[in-house]
Amino acid sequence: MRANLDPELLQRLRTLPEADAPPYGYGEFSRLRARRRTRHAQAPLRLMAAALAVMIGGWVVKQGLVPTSADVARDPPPPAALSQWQGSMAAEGTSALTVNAERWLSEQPRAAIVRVPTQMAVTELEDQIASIDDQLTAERLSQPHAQQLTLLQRDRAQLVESLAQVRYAQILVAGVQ
Amino acid sequence: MTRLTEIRVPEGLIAGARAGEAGAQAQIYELLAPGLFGLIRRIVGVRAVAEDLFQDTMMTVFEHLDRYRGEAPLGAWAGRIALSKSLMFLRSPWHRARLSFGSFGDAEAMLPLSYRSLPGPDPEALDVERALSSLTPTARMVVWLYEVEGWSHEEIARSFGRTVSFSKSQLARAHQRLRAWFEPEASQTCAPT
Repeated sequence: MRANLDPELLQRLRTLPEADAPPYGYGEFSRLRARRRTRHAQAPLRLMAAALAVMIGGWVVKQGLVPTSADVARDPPPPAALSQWQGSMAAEGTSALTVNAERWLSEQPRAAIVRVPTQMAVTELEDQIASIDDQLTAERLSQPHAQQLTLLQRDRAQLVESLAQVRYAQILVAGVQ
Repeated sequence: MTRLTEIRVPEGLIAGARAGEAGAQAQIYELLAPGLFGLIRRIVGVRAVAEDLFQDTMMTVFEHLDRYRGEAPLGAWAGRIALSKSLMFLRSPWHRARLSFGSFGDAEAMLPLSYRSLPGPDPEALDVERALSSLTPTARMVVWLYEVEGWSHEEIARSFGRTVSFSKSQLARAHQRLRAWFEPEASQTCAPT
């Protein structure tokens, strides 16, 4: 016997509709795949740039141009604009996860001395989020297209999550050291 | 709902996709995407995560298509990739950290979007979805693979890297929980004292 569930319940389970439609069609998938391939292709270049930056950073520290202590400086509290932005995102139906992740990010201290490759990743993600914020603002000011807004919101949510992952890893590493 | 194992993909399409033909890849994508996304969505619960894992899965499917030997239907082979990616996510420290952000564990948030957005969802289906959402991700995965996708305990155990008894005990506990969900009085009466 395969199961000891009530046959009626089993039937209901097996005839459930699809959970949700896939997020996009093949066209969008191809675009995302191409974007990811480009990122992979650029990885060695980024690694070289990061190594170069580490070497330069090391030289700068060695020359005594920046403080060498690993003191952690807290960022100033998030400006009122950020809170307003978070409020508006919540009002527009942005997922609780994104809003909470942003709140968590804004509460994290920033290391005064950081690992250069990690900081580059953080900066790049923050730049991308800022760029999407600009696009969202422009989209809202022009004639808003619901689909375009949804796509931008989705990209933004993924970037915020990636940023939170990097910052979380940074905190774990700091904890280990 | 179509089971992944029931999806028939013509050999010619697979050969075309292996050769990098965009048309063939598009057709395979259209055939597999609903089932794969549905499976991932039900396992991980949160749509945003499911979208990421789905994208990863589809990329792996096309990148590794030359390794597909045709011993099982393409849908089942792709389903294993989806399952493996979902399991990796559920086991990651990041997933545990996400729990603190509070969007997991909310059964309503885990319901498929279609149930929340449509004006009149089928109440029976909604009830089953809620019951499924109340299970742990592992138990939900075992129930789904065994009861809906038709996997054997041996296949489930292999995928999880665990023993057959693990699969059987997960299923038994999930059955118990589902029965209690639908017949709370009966389960209380039958409960050992």
